[in-house]
Amino acid sequence: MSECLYCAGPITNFTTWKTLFFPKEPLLCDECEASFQLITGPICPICSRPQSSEVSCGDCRRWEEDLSWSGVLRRNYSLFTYNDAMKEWIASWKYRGDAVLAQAFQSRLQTLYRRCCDGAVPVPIPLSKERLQERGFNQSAILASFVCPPPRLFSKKYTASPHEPAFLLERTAHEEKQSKKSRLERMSSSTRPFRVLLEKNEIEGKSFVIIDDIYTTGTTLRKAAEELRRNGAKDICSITLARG
Amino acid sequence: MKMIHVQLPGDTCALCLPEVLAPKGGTISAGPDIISRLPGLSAPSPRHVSDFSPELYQTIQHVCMGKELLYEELPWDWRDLEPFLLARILVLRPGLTPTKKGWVCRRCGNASPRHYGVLDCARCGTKCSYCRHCVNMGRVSACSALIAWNGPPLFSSSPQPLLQWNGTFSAGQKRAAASIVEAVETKSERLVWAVCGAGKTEVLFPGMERSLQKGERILLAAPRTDVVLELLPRLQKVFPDTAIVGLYGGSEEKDCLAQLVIATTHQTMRFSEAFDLVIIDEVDAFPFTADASLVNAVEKAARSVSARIHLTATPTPFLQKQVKKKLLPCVRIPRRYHGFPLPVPRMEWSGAWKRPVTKGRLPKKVLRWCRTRIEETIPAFVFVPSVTVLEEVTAILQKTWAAVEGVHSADDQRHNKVQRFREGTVPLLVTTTILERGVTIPGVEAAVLGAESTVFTESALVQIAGRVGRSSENPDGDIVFFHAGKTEAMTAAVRHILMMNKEPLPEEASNE
Ligand SMILES: [Zn+2]
Ligand SMILES: [Zn+2]
Ligand SMILES: [Zn+2]
Ligand SMILES: [Zn+2]
Repeated sequence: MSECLYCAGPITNFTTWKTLFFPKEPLLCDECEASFQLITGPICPICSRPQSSEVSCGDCRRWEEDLSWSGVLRRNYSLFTYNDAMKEWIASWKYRGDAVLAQAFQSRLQTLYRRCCDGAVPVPIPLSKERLQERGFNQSAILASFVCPPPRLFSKKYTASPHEPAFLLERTAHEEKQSKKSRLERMSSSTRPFRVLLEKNEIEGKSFVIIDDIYTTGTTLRKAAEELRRNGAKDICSITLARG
Repeated sequence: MKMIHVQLPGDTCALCLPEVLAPKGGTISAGPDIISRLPGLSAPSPRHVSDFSPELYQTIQHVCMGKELLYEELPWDWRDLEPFLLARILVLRPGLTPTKKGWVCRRCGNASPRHYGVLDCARCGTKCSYCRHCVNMGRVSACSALIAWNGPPLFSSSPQPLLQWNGTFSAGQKRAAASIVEAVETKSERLVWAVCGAGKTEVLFPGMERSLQKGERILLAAPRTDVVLELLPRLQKVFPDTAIVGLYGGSEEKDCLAQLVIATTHQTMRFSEAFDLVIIDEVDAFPFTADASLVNAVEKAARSVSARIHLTATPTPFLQKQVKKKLLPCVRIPRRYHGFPLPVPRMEWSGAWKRPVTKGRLPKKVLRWCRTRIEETIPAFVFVPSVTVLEEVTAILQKTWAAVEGVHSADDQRHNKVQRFREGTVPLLVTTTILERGVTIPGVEAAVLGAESTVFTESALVQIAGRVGRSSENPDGDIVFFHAGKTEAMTAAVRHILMMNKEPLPEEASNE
């Protein structure tokens, strides 16, 4: 019997059907699995916020009405709602630093990527140098490394994967708490927290998928997308683990 | 951060320092490399240097003494720590040490490969292993250094009396207390085998006072937060001039350097070579036998020469064997403090209960027992085997008596509910085994539902019985095991209690 990656309890949910369809052992026990809430049902067609209708949510409408932001981020895809269990999990993973916990969601992220943004170059949201030293790892980079398909042993086609995460961006300023700023401040395009690290011709005409852990206000993702668009990116969407 | 070993001019042994602090004129004998790959260093003695600010010296001593902390846990950077490292008042030790099979964690003792993870570490730029077992206290990885105080100790000795307590001892308690004082003087081990309610805590007072007078540090390790919360005010009351701190998951005073530390066994992991007297309250309590790394943690928290007291009501067969072989000196306090025998549990067959409970009904006998307690305002525990049953039973009782509460180990409201139970606003508390030890509520009675369940071991049942009638006004409360079939554990528990009640000590017979 194996141990739950998260709570270390025994995993007993090894039913024949699961074994048949997912030959890999489950990493989480039933209780932990059930505590996370996958986003299903009607959502905002732009940011994936769960809601009662299928039309753009108020926040997204405001982004799209603002000419300087309209279309910058075509779409965001998120796996889970940001419920208490997810909050607690992200605290253990990101702040307490148990980096391997992310493996629990690897295959789901991979499936989401293939279904929604296949072929797009994954771009993790960077951390500032200080934050990276302090935390020891970049959580978005871990998630980005999960979406590229695993190399296949017998297929030459995949030996050089085009989907390696690309560290295209860097922080120009130390992170601040988003919540401390007003909505207007957040939306203003005057602050540019990211800088592109590559030459324009390496970005031009390509599709990108920005990867982050949580979509809260959508500001961080849009500011990152804006830098890529400025450099000629063709299409930009995003994937996050949770939708806050 | 990579580390180096440096030999300073005129010095006899090498120092471990972070690469950024490489001193001019020193010879690098190993590194730069991640600390767990550097060779071992011999134990250094501090050098006599005094060019640091006395305030910083004091704060660092407060924070670091008797502990091993990660760089990330300290509020200073390497430049601040530099003079202390050069003087060897602070020393660096690798957080992980390689073994044949993988690693062993210096902080928690975890050596099982499946409890290690690997990450792309931005601090050292390698695929860095880390201990998942204690990651909640800050990640210890292959590149982490644990920083320890290597300077002089903090407390000075004073012969003045520190204990303010005018209670009296029974003959059994007197003998146990004397034996503990002796263990403190000779830095040896004792097993104190006491019945619940025998006044175990009081028995510790004279030995603790002796140790505090010598300027020593004491650790009292208890199995759970609720026990720590109960002991803390009692000890603060009798040792009013001593710096005492309670450490448990979520407690705030994480950095406080007190002379007497009362901590859950889990919290002892932070300490290293810190205590001269270690008291393990209720050695056989749940997390202790289940998790060998906690035993290691307590072991590590104690100084290599220290006194160790194991306090228990139900020694494990292993400890009993150690006593028989005369490897572990043992003192017994078989009588309860107020001289009354322990209440002997009744066994009541209550038939199949699982299905009725899921359907919202309690067995008649159990319901009648609860009704009598609530109507006569006798505080009562109902012990149940699992959290699921706990929720069901609580819901059933709440239909009639809304003030009834259920409590289990993962309940955030636990301390609050127990407090309200103590105050009498909650008439009856349904609980899993978490409250079985260390919680004293005068006049309480107890019932066990599903006593045949395997979670109710002999020792658990004896402990439950020990909850009951723990005051001299109300020495014989009711304790009943409702069951669907007698188990060996149930009969053994009853036998155990009868045996403890029967055995008078020769001294007691002559003195009292
Ligand atoms: Zn789990
Ligand atoms: Zn939206
Ligand atoms: Zn550890
Ligand atoms: Zn590292």
